[in-house]
Amino acid sequence: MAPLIELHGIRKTYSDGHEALRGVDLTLGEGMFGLLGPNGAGKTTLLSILVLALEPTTGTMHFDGIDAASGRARLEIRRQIGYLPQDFQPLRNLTGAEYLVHCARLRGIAMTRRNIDRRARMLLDAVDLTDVSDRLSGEYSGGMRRRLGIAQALIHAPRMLVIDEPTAGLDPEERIHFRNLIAEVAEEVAVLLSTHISEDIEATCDRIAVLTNGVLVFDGGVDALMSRSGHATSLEEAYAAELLRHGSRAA
Amino acid sequence: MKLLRLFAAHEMLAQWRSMRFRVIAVVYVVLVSAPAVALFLISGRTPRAIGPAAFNMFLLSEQPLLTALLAAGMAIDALSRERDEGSFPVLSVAPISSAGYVLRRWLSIVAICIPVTLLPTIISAALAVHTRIMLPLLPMFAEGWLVSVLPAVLVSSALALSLGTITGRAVLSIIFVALFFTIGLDTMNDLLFHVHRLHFAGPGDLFAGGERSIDELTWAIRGFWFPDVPSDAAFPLRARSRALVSRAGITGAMTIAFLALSTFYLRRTRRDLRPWKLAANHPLRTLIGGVNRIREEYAPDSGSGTADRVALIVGLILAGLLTASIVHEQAAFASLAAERFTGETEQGVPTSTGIVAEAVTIDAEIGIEGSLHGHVATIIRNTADHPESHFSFDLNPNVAVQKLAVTSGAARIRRVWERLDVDLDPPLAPHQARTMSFDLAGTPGDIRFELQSPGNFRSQWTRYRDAKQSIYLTDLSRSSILPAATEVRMRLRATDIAPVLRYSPWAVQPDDHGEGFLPETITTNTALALRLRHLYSIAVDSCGVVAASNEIVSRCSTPLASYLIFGGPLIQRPLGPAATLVFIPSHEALADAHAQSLASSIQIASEAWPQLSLPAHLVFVERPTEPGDRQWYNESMPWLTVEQIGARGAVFFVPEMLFTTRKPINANVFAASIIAGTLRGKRRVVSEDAGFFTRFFTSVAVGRLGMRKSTAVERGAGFTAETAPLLSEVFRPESRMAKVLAMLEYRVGSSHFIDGINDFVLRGGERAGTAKELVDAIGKAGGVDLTQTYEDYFVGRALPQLTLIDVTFHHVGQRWEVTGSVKNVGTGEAFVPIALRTAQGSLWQTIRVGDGARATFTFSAAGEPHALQLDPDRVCYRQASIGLIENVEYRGES
Repeated sequence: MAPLIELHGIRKTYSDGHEALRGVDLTLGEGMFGLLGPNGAGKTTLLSILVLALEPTTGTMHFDGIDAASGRARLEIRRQIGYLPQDFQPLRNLTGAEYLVHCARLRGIAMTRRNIDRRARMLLDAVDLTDVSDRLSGEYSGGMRRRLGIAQALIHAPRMLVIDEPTAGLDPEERIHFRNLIAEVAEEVAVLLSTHISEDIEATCDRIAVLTNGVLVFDGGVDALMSRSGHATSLEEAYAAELLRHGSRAA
Repeated sequence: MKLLRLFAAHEMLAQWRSMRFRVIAVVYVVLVSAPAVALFLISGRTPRAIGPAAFNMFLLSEQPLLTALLAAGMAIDALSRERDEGSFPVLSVAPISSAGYVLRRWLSIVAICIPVTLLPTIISAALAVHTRIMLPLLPMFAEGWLVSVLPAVLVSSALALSLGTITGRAVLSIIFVALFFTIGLDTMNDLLFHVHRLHFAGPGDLFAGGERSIDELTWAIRGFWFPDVPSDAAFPLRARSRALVSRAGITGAMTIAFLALSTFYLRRTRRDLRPWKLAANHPLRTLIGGVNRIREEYAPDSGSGTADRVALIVGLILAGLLTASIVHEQAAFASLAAERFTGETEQGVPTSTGIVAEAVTIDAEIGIEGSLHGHVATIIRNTADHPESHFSFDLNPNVAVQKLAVTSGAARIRRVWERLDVDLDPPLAPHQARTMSFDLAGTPGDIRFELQSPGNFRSQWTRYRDAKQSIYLTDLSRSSILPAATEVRMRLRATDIAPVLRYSPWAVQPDDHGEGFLPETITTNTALALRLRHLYSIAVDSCGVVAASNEIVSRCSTPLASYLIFGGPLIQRPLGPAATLVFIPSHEALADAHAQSLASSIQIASEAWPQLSLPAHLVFVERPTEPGDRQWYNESMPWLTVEQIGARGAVFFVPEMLFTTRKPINANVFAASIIAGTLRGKRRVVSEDAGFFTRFFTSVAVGRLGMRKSTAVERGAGFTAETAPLLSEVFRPESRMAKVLAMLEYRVGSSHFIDGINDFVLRGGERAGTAKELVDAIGKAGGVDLTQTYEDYFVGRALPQLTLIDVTFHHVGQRWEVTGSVKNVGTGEAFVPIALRTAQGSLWQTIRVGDGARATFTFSAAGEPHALQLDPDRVCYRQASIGLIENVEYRGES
């Protein structure tokens, strides 16, 4: 099967000279992919490039074989990607259900109003927000907002879901809840989960990549990372060892 | 369209749930509706009936500015919701083009502003309906909203949204808008001055309503007066729409450009920028770093789609076209102004008085927007003994001669402003006639040039033309043309639809008097045959024709210089067999109230001046208010506002401001107008005295009907006494006229006074009379010589000031002798009555006191004197001021 996303030689140097990415090659396919890296490693930069919010300095990106460099292709790629940013905020004066319908329309879903409503309700049910679907989203807690974020990212049935630091700031119970939700989603949609919390990756991802100082230092299965460190008993230890190997201060 | 509905629905839903929006909306509606509500509250106690135009005017006085603030606020609120609250990153990955996103975002803001801004309009219209004084003209409210409020919504929201998007911050967008509207345009104008001498006015007019209106409303609430309001006949939509283009042009162009540009500043795909290499110890590293951050912040998005590029190109083209149209307008008006300047400064040669227009046939059509197409055939006869080749006509400068044909020979045309010179080859032989046929097209109207005060047109245009700095330039595109035919009314002078021979010199008005050429003072009757198709329900002309259809056909002999056709969205009703009332439909209730006065005024007029035979049929036309009309000017003398159309005395204008008086108009006011109009119609007068005769006959009629409260004495304190000659057209000395007439009536006696006027008017013959002949006729009827009176007061500025001096009371035998003098310390001849009050009654003498002279008198009385009084009945024209002795009391033996 052809990969869904192919990144080749992605480099990103900001105008102040900071090199956020230094030649990242990555292919993403079906299933759940975890992107681990300490703060400042370049994860958000890479995700921004993936969702077309940032132009790379060099390198190419293909989505399902389409070159993202062309303007017309961007519309098509945006149609195929769902995105949950790190600091997601819904429109606070809309209820959860209204917000999902709004997002569905915004993304040009070719459905009748009734079917859109039905899909919104289904997603709200899936993210366990049915009870509060008629409450203004501005009144939601942090966890509820993230779950609504997942629902909005899925409303247009994308082929890939990009999630940036989804559990940051959540309490342990919410984190577990959210992790399970993502795992369920990943059964149907390719998911790229970016985080610096290795536990989230360990519990859900089949494949991981470790990014540090703008360089992809590892790309493979969880077991492979564990085995690289030799003595690690958990992914967190293996991750730390990998960072140490590459001299990351975060380790 | 689906997406637009989505954006709009979301914006409405989101805003409706926002307490902040609801508060702002309520405050807006209350503030904007307040003037109309205040007007409604005082509507029961105003001297004039309040119509829909008044409600609309006060509604629109502040609404554009407040609407601009509301729309900008809504746009900034929408931006801050998306950006500052963090919801934009999700929306920005939506698969729509940036241009599509910005456009829909803007239209959604417009969509929420529209119902909010319509609320005050609906409230005002409802209040207008509820007053039930007049029938409401609901389209007027809609049209006012369309040209005054909607543009403010569109421009303000787009500007705020685009600048907010480009700057990325609400606060910055506010600062940018403020800078743009304040120093931005001035700076641009300074730069543009050196490029083609362009000057663009700011957006003030676009958002400004009328501060004056609010002041006037305040005065009205406090009961001081009632403000000037536009006509209830119709809203001048076309003129206002045309003005809108120039008012909104540059601001609109910039807004469109900003809006198109903002699609590249959504920050959906941040552009990759080449880093600036900077040494770590560079002395300017902080500054350069800051500049670099700005560079990064304001780099346009990368990866723009076709739609975005098309939007930018279309936007820039639109902005360019709008700017080009403004520049073109400026150039067009500058060209017109230059032509007018040439016309007014060039020495034109008028037509010889031996040339007469025997007959004029006009076949014309007035179309939408006041456009004219017409064919005019003028039979010109040379009554002189020598051939004539030069003919100078007066024709509205906005009407062009497309073709001129002459029955024989060739004609050469030269056109400068309103002067149309035709030179015939061969010349017109003595006593021969030739027909000139003109094909005309254009839009007759008055051009108002947007030039800088002070001064008259010539000095203003010179200042503009020779400007060395941009501050002396004005935005000439803001000039306007008020067509002779608008939605409100059609007011066509003969020169608007046909070339009219000009005999008087092509001389402009004196600097302190007015603009344009002096009116034609030499008139001859012409056999006129008119057929005019128009768009109005009723038209009348000064021949007395009333046509209740889209065509007026008229035939009469009339001086063309004073010929007028008037029409409008009016209706008519008969006032018995002798008169017709034409009025604005929404004033039906007022027509009911005034009909009785109007009808009885005819009877009053015929009884007050039985020697006059009134025209068989009179027409009263409610004349819709014109821009700039000031009703307060003649509020204390309403008869001055009833204007006779033409010279036949059959058609009268009743200005809307008089017609909307809540109480029925005093029948004497109309009776006075009928008398004055009929007197004017009975005798031809020389044109240079025509204005005087109008004022004279009106003043006489007013006095005849007992409405003149004035004595012959000018008060000594307060206002400076009028001393302008009664023949003056510049100062129109109404007050002095009334006082001098009171004096004349005393000198010749009331019945002789009327006899003299009748002699002049009814038995004067066909020859055009003069003011001097009128005064002589009055003097002849009274048996007195009024030559000096004419020189002093009609031609001169004389004003006597009389005082008693050296008064003595003597007991001579059984009788009393009283002696003394009257001294005239002022100017002019005075005939002053002096009364000696005694125990046995009063003795009277009338003494003539010349200019600066002294006249003595002696009384011999049987009874003991009480007092000597100078002009106790105040019938001698003079000024009574402090220090002048008018009364000497006898206090004992002297």
